[in-house]
Amino acid sequence: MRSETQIRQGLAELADTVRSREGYEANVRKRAQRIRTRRRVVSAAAAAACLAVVVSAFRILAPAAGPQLVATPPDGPFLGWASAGDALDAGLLAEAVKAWDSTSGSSASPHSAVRPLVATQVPYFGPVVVAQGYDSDGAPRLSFFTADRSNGSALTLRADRPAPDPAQTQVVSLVSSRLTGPSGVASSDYWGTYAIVVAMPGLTKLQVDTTAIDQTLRQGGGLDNGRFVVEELSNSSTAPTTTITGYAGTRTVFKTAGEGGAVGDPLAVSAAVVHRDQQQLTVSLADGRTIREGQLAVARDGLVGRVTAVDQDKKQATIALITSTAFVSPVYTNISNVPGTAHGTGDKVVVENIPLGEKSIINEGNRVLAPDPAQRSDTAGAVTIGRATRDKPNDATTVELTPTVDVAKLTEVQIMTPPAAASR
Amino acid sequence: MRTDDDEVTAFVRASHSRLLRVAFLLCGDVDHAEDLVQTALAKTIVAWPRLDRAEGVDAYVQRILVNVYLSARRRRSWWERPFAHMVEEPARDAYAAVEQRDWLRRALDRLPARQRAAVVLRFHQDLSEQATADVLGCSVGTVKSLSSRGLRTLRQQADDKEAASRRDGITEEGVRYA
Repeated sequence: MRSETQIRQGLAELADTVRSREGYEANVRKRAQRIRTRRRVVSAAAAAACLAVVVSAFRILAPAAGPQLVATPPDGPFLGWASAGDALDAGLLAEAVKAWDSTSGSSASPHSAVRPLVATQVPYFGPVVVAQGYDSDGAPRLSFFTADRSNGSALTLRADRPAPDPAQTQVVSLVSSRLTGPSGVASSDYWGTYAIVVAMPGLTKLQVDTTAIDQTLRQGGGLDNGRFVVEELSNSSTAPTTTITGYAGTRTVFKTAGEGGAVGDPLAVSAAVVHRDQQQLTVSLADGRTIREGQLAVARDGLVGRVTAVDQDKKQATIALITSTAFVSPVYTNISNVPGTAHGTGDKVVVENIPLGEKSIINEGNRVLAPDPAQRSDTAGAVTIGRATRDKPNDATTVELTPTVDVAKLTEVQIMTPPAAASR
Repeated sequence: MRTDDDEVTAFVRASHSRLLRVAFLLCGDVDHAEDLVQTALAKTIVAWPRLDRAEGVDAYVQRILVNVYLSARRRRSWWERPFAHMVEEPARDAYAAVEQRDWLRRALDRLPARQRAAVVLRFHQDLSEQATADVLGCSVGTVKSLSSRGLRTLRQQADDKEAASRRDGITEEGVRYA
């Protein structure tokens, strides 16, 4: 049996020896029925298993994907939030109330029915107390306390505000460079501004961003777990240039500007843009009594211009844009501190009078800051005016800037007024 | 008008004998062949409502049969593996055809499952290489390789049998007396 034909013949002869047995039809049908029954059972079991897996997965994942935010009922005129951060430190709270009562210039003492939102030690920062309470006039207040590092870490009142709307408020914050030294004194450290943020219960993450410094230069900036955070920022950061975002799981609950108002901080006065041209803006003021010539007008992304005229009757102010020929300001580069004088040429901004020398290096993209006269400090709260358009040649004393604010899209500006003008 | 049930009955009656022969060539055991055919037909009946008639029910049931056989061989390969093959000397038999069939059955038993299936489908069912590849779920090249190796093994066994017969003085024509 070697050829294919022989093998075919052999296979056919071998196969011909078998014959179907009696009753094969019934056997086939019985087996088909058994297969159907088995498949039904397997399908039902698989469906049950899938359902169990889906239910289990939902139970496990659902809370992380988006916990339900249940509004906490107001506690009278106060926020009804439970205290945040680590365990409440009763000693700190007592010290804070004592400081609150004794601080001259704050609301009249003594304070009563004090409710802490935070009273804890924060690593690498020190003690923080955020408390609500009535002053002697019965007005509900919200206050922030941090330590004065120059005075044995004594708790010092940093901000004393009217209590916020307890039904609508989702977050309270204080962004300032005046939170670590004597009351009203700005820090001279490069990382001297801090943002203290307390959010409503149910928030799982907070993020603090600033336009005053590039994200890549921040150390540890990003998402923070929990609803209380103290974030270190560069000392050019201010409340208007800071954004706070709150998350419940992966859901964004709010995104809002930081709040300022620490003792000694300038007060940002909002003004709506009513007219604009190549050289200036006209803005409308709700209350123009604190607005003066020379004050800076800023937006979230940086400097817009300087107030050049105030019309108290019309409650309007004129702001010379940084690109206008009327604008001039001392400036310096961020981090490397190369000084110069910025002035507008009519359609752009140029930094002049840059000293020659090995250290006077300005590269394309370098951030240039203008001191804010309302800050009473050259570095604290300095405002970004623009970025170098290109590398400055070694023998050049000027460099052109690209402004960081797009004036064409502005509908509102903040005018920085000195603290003396700020009313309680 | 014929119902599905009538069609199924007609199909089972028409195909049982043919499938049984193929199954016997595949497994070499009548009872096991009966079992394979029952399973293949039962699965075909269960799938009957959704079968694509255009593809051919015959091709479908043939594919099921081969798959059931190969699966059974895989299962057996680790828990029912024979530890030895019974060695039987080819008995001198006046019924040469019977002896020839018995030898072929034993020779097929020695082939690996997929080689055996390829040989049966190609040389008993006369399927083309492409049709065999479809049934086995492999490429045409693999079919060529499987059937070629299967044939070579059968021929080798035929040569061995012939040599043994000569050694014992037995030829295909009968006993050669000294």
